[in-house]
Amino acid sequence: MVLDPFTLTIIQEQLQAAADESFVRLGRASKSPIIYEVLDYACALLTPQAELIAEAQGVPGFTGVLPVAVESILEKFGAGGMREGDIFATNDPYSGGGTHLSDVCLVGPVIVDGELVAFAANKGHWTELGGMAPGSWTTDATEIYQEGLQLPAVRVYDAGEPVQDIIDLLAANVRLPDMTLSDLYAGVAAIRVAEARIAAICERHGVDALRASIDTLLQQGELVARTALAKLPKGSWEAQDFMDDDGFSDEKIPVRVRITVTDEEFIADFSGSSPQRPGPVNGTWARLQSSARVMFKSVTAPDYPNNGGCFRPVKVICPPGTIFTAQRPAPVSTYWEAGAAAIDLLWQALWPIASERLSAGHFLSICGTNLSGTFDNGELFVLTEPQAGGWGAAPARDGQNGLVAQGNGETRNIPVEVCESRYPLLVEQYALDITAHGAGRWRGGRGMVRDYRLTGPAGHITTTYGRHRIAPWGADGGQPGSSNSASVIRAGSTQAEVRRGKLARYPLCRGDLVRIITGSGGGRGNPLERPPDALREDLRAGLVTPQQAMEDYGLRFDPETLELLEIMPERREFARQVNLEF
Amino acid sequence: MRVSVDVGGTFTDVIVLDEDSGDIQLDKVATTPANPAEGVLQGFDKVGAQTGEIEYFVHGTTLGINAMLTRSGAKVAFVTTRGFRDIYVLGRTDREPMYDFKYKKPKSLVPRSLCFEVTGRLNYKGQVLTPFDADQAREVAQRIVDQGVESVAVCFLHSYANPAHELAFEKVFQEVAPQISVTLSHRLSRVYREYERSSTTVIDAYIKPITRTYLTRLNSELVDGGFNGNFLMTRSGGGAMTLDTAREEPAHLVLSGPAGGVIGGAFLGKLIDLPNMITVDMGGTSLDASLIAEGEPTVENEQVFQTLPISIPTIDIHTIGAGGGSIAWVDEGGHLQVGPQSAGADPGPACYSKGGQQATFTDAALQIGFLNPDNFLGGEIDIDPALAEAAIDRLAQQLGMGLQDVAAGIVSILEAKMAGAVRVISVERGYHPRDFALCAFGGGGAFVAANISRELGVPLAIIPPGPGNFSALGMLMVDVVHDYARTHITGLVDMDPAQANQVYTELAAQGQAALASDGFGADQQQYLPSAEMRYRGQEHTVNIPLPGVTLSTDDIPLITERFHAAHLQQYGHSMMQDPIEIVTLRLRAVGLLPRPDLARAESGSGDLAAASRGSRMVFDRASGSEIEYQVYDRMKLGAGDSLSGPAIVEEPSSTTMVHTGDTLTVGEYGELQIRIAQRGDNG
Repeated sequence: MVLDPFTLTIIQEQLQAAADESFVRLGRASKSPIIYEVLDYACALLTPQAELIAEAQGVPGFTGVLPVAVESILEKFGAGGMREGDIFATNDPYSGGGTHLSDVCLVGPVIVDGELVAFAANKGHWTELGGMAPGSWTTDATEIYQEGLQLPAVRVYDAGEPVQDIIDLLAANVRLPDMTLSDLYAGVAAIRVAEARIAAICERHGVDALRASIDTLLQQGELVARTALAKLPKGSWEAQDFMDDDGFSDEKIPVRVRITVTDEEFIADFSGSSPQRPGPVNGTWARLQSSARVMFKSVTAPDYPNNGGCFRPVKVICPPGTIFTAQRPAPVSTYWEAGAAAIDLLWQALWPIASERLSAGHFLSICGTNLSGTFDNGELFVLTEPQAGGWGAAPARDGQNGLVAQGNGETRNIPVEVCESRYPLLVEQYALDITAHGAGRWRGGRGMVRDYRLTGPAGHITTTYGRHRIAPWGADGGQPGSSNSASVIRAGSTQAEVRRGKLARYPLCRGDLVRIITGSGGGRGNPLERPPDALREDLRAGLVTPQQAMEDYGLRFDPETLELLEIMPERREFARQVNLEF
Repeated sequence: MRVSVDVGGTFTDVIVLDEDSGDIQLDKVATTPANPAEGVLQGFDKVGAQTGEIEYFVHGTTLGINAMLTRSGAKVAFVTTRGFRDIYVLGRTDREPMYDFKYKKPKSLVPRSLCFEVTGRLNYKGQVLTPFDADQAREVAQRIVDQGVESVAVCFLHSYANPAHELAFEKVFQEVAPQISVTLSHRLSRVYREYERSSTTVIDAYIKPITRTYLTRLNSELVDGGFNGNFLMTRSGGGAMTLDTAREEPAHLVLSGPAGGVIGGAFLGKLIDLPNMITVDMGGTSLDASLIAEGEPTVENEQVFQTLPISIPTIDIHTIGAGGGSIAWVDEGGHLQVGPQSAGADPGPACYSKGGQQATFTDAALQIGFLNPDNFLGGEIDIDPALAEAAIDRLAQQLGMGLQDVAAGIVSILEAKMAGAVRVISVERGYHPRDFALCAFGGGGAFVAANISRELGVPLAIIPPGPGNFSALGMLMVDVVHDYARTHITGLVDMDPAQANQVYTELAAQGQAALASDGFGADQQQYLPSAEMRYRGQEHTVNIPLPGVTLSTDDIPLITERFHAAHLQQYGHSMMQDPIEIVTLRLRAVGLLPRPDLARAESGSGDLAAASRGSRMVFDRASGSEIEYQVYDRMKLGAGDSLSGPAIVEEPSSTTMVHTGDTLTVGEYGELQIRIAQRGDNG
């Protein structure tokens, strides 16, 4: 069928609007702060063959993972086994869900006049799904059975009616059933909106026009991707790095990638990376694929809306059973550590050909934080949040202070006033952390310090902060940034009893303080080239200490007047060599 | 006599209403950016307004938002609780363009070097955990003065629950530097979320000096000219405020300009018995869409302008980059796109002959015959259709398509985008467009009204008299409004009405004092209480009108019912079994002004020949052929006259399209009422 190109454009906009509206609807109906504040969820429309049509999402970590979920539903039930109003759920990390058990995918077939025309799907981080730890993720699980309730592609709505047996099962296996069920209902509401909008498009323009529009949309996405691919240099680039540890031993985990760019493909080969580990830092296939897509997008067409066509040139190679492609029953509840490692590897490998589109190394880890405990009346609370940190220096610009990491996007911090109203916690400070790191011609941005004082009777803190042992990387002569950590300072003390990247349900008593510190980003270019005026501004803003100005930048200022007192010998010598003015 | 002036980016619109006769005079002059007051006074001259005879002068301005956009406001210091110096500069730490790994946050209105901390800490109940340190405050005040700061924004944690520390800071600061203005967060917003409240406070402080200077100057020039009436400013949240309030709380002026059109829509809707109205204001660069339900504009309690949040009640106006100057271009995938970039007023569309090379919406509309080259701003702008054709032809060659097809495509794509903007404020908020009329104004609104309405299933489009000046007309219809709010979290079923009533007693006292100082007697005051409510555990709230400012447990069933219904309407579901919470108590205090009457239009003769300007051939995309449209002069149509599409109605500032199957009737106030042929009915 031939349609005029403008109608196609108009339908495409309406499809994107349907995905966006589902996203808004889901966020507004949810009772989980991780969804409505942190926006840890995604909504998408897909073709009957499970190709992405449009998606709305708050986090890059979910880029293009929903097709895998829809494929697994199709495989199990077949298009013929679905009825109008059905909704299926899966959270299986190794196949359908693709991340960890907390991320539940809901999939609804959109059936118009008896014909399957699309799928509406969403994936959200439900706050509670049972398992050994409140919040359903922890750093000391050794098998998936400890990490929560598994939903292996099950029907939760049958022709529009809830399947009560499944809902009862769900409610009985989670710690906060009210919150969990509201996450389910929010996801269902989002699917119903998408169904209604697609039905309206079919009524207005016809099913054939919808199909034609989707086909051209995917072709267009592919064209954009191939055009961008053609502009990249051809060849191979490699990177190697380490993840901190798996939470059980101190052993660093080696990872590697080889990127090959050809006329046709962007190939990311992770062969040679560590085998899967006993701790839950393992990732699975869908997330690895998503990491490659995110980096491909960031260096090609970051602003073009996602659809299945955009990722056709991306090919991922990795044998099963690695840290990136863990197999059942490996624990995966902090899978984002492997996801972050994959992103950062690709980032480093791409640096020689795309550094003008990238910043130097950043604090990288989502810095997942889970503070749980009880109110004085015995009621349970669970606070789950990612942290913001320092970003590396961008091309010809200092790094950004206090932004969420690569895997997060429209992810917002939890306001101090909301936090204190909702939980028995007092936030004693929330500020930039001014360390002596990240120096460069362009500085790394600053990380954060956030102090939580427990005012309830008892609690636990669980954290998974990668880049605790290995700091964010500097580039082109810039210095590395600083590392991420969580400490516990007991009531009445000023000394940290423990300071680590990973804590597993570390016990807290009333009055104890948890101090979260995130890293500064890496610098770019030799710090001795940073102009004195820029440094004076840094001092005025309190972003660099006079001490660091002297030691890393070779300039001594009067801390009060900000007058330049002395150019240190090291800087003089450097300036002489490169013929630079001070 | 009432006069209103809407100062926009390009034009300053002036309207004079003679309250005895109901007659209105309207005109436009160029905005004078260096000294906007000059343009205002020129406007007065042009419409012949006698300054001494003006009883009410109502004014809307984009001064504040322009200062925010161009970062040209005051040098502001931000003062907060010790340990939280960075809360304002940090914002919510999100990365909206999430694949951009060299992303840079928008420039903050206050640099970190001007962010200060003072010891003193409250908890969320407003109880003092650490006392306020006045000595430290004095040191900070001195440092602020030393830095040459022009305006100070103060936001302490949990000040919504207890403003004592903010008030203590103000006292200290005024001792040190009485000449520098101070904005305290709790005066603008008594709602939790420290970043949003800080941002609101900073915006206020940022635009305060420039607004004060402007208003003071304008007022003194008016007074010099013999002005002795009431000077009112339109507010973002609807209604107006007095000059004195505007000087103190300019944060309420951010949407001062566009609010006028929505207020006008609500007024016109009441007059012609269409209380449900969608308003669409299409200018050269952008389109503002808003919705009026049962006579009241919809209000959001938090909005974001140019990435800067503001947590005070604001009319829900959705703006997209779609206007007459929207530029057509070919994207990476080889498809035609229109906007959001605009050629603006300078160089403007290609046909303006001011050097614009890119084809715009206006060029396309001219090319297919919708627009008359001799009727741009009543012939005040010279148009060269050949330049429009050349610009579109370049696109057509790039796309490998016909010239007329591309021109028609540009119009269709932008109309679809505008329909999308209306969908956001209607369908996505739970309202069905078939229950509304669409009131279109601004330079381009009348042109797109019929097709937007058809796309969404709106049955009736309204083109008010003087659509190019309609925002200014709306400003004449205001009441004086003060909004108050207090975060007050309590379960609904187990609420203690005495506590809520205590809050309302305080809020009402504030409202009464404010209205009395504005000069309103007791019989001219109205109080509208509402509560933001949610299901326990949710964060997003729904605003529910309350039966009165004195609540009793007997009111709970009614409030419960209203909440479930509103939640169902807005979010598509309700959870009847779940406990409900009140989060924020709100009170709107209204000072009622006498409502002017609009003059009725003279009756038409029923004979359209006198109004006819002949006909034009217009290219039709669906059939690929030309269709003959009859052309009429709006100024020669009278009440009751009626005509059928395909037709075009021209007036100096606007062109109204009546497509095949649509019928137009002139209403009793001269408004054009277009009955929209729905899809399937016709064509």
